[in-house]
Amino acid sequence: MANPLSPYAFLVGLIFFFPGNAFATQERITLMLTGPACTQVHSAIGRTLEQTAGVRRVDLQAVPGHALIDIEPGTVTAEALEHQVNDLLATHPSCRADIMKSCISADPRSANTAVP
Amino acid sequence: MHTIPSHRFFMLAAGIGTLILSNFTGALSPAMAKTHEIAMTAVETDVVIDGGGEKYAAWTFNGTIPGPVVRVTEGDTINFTLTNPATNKNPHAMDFHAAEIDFLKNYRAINTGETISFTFVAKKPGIFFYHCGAPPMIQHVARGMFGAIIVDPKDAKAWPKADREYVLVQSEYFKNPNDVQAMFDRKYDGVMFNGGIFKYHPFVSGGGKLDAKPGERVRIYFVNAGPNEFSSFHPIGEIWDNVYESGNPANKLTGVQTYVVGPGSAATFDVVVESAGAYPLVTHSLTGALRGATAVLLASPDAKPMPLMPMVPWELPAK
Repeated sequence: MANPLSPYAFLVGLIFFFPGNAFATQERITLMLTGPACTQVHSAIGRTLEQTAGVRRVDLQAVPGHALIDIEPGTVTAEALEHQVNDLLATHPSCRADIMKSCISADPRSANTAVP
Repeated sequence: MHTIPSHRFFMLAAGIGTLILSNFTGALSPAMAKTHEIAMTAVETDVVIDGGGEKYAAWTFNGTIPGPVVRVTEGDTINFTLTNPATNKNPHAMDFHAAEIDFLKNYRAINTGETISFTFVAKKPGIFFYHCGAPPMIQHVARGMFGAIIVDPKDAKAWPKADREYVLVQSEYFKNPNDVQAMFDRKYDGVMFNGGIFKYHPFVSGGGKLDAKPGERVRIYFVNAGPNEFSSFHPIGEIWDNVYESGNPANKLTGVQTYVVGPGSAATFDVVVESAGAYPLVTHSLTGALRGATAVLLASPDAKPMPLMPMVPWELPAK
């Protein structure tokens, strides 16, 4: 019998907002795409992101429902990319982009450190 | 007069060695024990250890961390040869945990320019560690001289047939490969699966994933190379359907959330992923999981076949 908790809930809960691992020379930002119409706008999302300064590569296929965005460190923020995609999706209310965030961070320097 | 072959030559030789190994990989008839000629080369070389292209001055078997997966069947004979090229700077050795042979004679370190050969019969089925035992062994392991040998049970029906198989070797990463004291003091900088920091973590730059289809029995051959830290291996979002200590079908546990694998040990983990989604495989010693030892098993109906040990060497992202 599988654990009844959703694996995606674990994904959100554990993993996954890395501002880049401690050793990387480039960063990956992950946006979660939710909504029934998301696959229909993949191409537009990809084009928009790829045309953004600092974005090196966009992968919308590797993990279903997610955009994996490789960027040059310090050139663009996750929030900016999130806003950019959601602006694009303003006419597609059945799809929305959110930054993957976690209560546990892989990087002790990240902003996810708990406040006592 | 001896000529000194180039480093490139030895990388080529290592590649050929890997090909030789792969020729001996695969299911064998349970009725017929076979003899395998396994040749490895100690290669001191830089290897990439993360998706950002960070290079590490490694010591390896055949140029990769881990070394090649050796796969034989219970009862088979292995004729093993290790070459330590004259271009290397250090003595090296080989210690197969799957073997039951005299350590003094067979596992001794050889100097550069030497070779050593020994023979053993893989009498017990399972997943076993192999590693360099040259002193200081802690450094030779930390720098990457380790790998896995699978000894398949001669009776294939000794356990359920796996639909998909992966090998994961956990090890600690020490940023300064010459700081042996840090190794003794357990001051590691990261924890790796198959020689990479977050190698199978798709949300980290350059990271990949492990694929499976819902309903498949996924078998993970897991080795903890250490050199020091215990692994508390757990599938997030799932429960191990079966765990086999040392990978021996006779050592079967059922319904296990987390299983501890000590340094120098190994176990085989079966999980039947019931629905599509992501299932991170981690050491639940979180300082390790969050510094590299996270491998995401992604279950999707259109999952494609993958190699037993994907992405060795590391596949860097397009830039």
